[in-house]
Amino acid sequence: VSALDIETRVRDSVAYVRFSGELDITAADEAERRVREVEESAPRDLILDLRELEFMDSTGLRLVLSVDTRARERGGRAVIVRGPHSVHRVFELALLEERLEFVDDPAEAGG
Amino acid sequence: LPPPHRPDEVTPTGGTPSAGAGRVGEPSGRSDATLDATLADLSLETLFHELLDRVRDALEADSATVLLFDPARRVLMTHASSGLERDVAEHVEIPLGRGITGRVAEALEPTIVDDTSAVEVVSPSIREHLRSIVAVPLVDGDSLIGVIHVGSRQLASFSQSDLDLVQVVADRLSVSLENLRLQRAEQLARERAEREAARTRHLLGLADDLAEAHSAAEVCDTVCRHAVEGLGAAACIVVTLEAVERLRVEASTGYPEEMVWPTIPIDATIPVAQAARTGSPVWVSSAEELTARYPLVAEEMERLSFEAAAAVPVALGERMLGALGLHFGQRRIFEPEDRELVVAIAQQAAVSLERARLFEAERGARREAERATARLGLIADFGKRLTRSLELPTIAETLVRFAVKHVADVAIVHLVGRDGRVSSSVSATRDAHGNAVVRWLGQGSHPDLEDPSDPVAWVIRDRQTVFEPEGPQPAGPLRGCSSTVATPLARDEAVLGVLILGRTEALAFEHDDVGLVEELGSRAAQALDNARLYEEQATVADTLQRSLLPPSLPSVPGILVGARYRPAGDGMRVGGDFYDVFEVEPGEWGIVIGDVCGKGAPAAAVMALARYTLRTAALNESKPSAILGTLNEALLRQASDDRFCTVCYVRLRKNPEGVRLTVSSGGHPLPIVLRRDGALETVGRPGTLLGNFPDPRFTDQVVDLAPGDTLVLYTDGVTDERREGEEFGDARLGEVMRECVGLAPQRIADRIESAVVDFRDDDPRDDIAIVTVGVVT
Repeated sequence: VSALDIETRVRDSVAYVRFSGELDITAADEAERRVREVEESAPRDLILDLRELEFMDSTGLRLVLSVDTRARERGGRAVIVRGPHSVHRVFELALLEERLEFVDDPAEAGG
Repeated sequence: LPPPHRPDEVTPTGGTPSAGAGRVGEPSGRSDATLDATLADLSLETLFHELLDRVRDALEADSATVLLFDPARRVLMTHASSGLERDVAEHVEIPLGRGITGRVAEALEPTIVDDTSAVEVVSPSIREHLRSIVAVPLVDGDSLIGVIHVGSRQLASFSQSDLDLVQVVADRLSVSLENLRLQRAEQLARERAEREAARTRHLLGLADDLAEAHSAAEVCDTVCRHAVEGLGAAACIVVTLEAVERLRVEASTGYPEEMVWPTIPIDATIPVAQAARTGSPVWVSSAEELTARYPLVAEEMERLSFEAAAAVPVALGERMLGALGLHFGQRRIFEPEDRELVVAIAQQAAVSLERARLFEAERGARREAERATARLGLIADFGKRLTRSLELPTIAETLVRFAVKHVADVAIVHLVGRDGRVSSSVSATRDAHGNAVVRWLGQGSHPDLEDPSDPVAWVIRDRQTVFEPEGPQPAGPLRGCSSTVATPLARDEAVLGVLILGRTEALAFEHDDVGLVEELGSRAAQALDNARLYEEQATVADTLQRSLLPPSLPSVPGILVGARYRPAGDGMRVGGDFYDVFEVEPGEWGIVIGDVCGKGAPAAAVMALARYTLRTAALNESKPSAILGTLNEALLRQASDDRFCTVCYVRLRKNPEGVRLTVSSGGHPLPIVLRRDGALETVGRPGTLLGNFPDPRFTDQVVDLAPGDTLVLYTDGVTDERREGEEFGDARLGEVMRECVGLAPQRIADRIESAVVDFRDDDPRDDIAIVTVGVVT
């Protein structure tokens, strides 16, 4: 049983996805499916809210990177609402802090 | 009894003139003589004759006649006569208003006709024999009952006093007739009431008996019995509508066996079918009518001496349920009451049939529901037993064990391999204590699936359950079983085996059981399929993983290298972690640890690419950051979603003091140096994750290792391991490492792995890879 909760909504052209719990290999497939589902509604921008995330491993990293890539391909952007330190460290380690767009509050993302 | 003769009062004919006055006695005396008390006890017919005789004698006339009025036909019928008996015999009728009597009846006026030839006469006898007549109407109040007339062969034989006498007699007759009519009516009413009571008793008895009848057949039997008893029928049949064009014979009595078929076509030309077909009752009163209307069965009816028949539909409102048919041994006029009774019986039959059907349907539904619940429970129980097994033989054994415990006396499973042949067979029976006895069968007992006559081969070829409710006694493990079910263990395209169940004669399989057997088979097939997939995938994963890791670590002079690798969880998938140790040139070695962000075959492809790209790049580039740059470009050229990875590359060069390491990380956790005094140093700077950005940033950091120092490279599976939300983490890793001072690099790798595995109760969620490098002291 996955310990990940996923909440999604789309308003105007902005999709919002919030992960709560643990985003790891056991939850990766479901997370991927739900994100793709949201992307089907063709939003311009996508906000990934990681504040409620307790854990993320490299599969989560891969998910975030692929969301970012697809957003760019659509001419939009992916904004990540920074998670707690243990989660954010994964981005820091991969030097993604400077490559991806991070905010502390969804309001900053314009969503 | 003939009335006593009273010569002193009644004067016989002769001696007295036949006309005018001067006859014996006064009119009152004559009338007393004519109407004496002896008449009171006589029946109507005797009364008529006695009175008519007496009037004729008293008036010395030649005839005395009574005609009765039929209001329906408005005619007078000659009813009794003294002297004109022929009219009675010939049923002479006089229309109201015609002839002498007709006119008297119409006018309600007594009349004396002195010369009959002078008036209209209808009756031929009167015209022929009588010359004069006195006629008086018989009335009750204002209504006409009839006419009495007295006639003579002589002209003008009757005086007013004669008329008065006839009038007195007429009054007396009227009263008697009226009394009689009332009496008759009363008697009829009583008889009708009695018949009604008998019918009611009958119907009540039928209702009582029907209350005990729970099935359609019982209802029909009861109806049959009551119809025969209550109506005096010789034979009875009850049919129900089985299909649009067919009637089912539910009960019959009185017909010879060979005449009664289980079903009757609804268009058969027999009364009962006609009633069911048309929805109208059929009444046949005579043998002639029977023959005329139902010529096809005329001969049989004659042989059985059936002379009348009745058939009524058995229906609830518009809905036709069937029909009730009766044959009688005598001609029979079906009076309204008879008809009502037959219809009432049919009505009760309809209500009871419907109730029986509902009862049967409800009982059936309840039985079905109970069975279904038990079956669901059984299947759920079986499912639970299966969940923990991931090995084909265990599943097969679980299935046969379960089957002999709950469903069958003997159970056999033949497992079919990928090559379409039976790979193994297991059977189970019960011992004297009811425990399952499982036996794996040798190859000799494997069915030959190529043999088209082998029933097991059919089951597999057609993917169909084969059910033998009472098959021939099979040989082999099914010996003694008279009823068998064989069902394929199939999932999607693949047939994984066959389940064969046998029962001994005492409790043969029924059609209902087949569904349960199929359901068990389907559950088992699912488990077998999973197990097979698991087996295959585990094999593939293991093989692939081995091919991606160095089969053994190279031996580096003066250097000790250790490594641990543990795939995540169940070992079902190729993990994303990899490592490599290789010689670039004499005195220089490359040490790699990495993690592909993904699992399975695509990850394995990226892993292979990374490993060989790094080896090649190391030949051309000396800076680790440049080597990682080359890998990044190679990864970017991959279109796959799974091209991201993190890698830490360490160049190792020996120097006189020990070794010099140059460390560069591409998104990978930074390695840690454990100094021989227990101090820990993180080495290197974070670098960009590989495979996503065209302009990554990597740095090279140099660190020297002295004898007794150990470099530890690891993947995030080590620090990310969790227990109830708590991470293993850097701090715990540091603690474990500090306890490893003085240990050989391989021992250190082992210690770290076991610390992580111990930390978690379950299997690790992510791959764990650890590479350790130390300088020989």
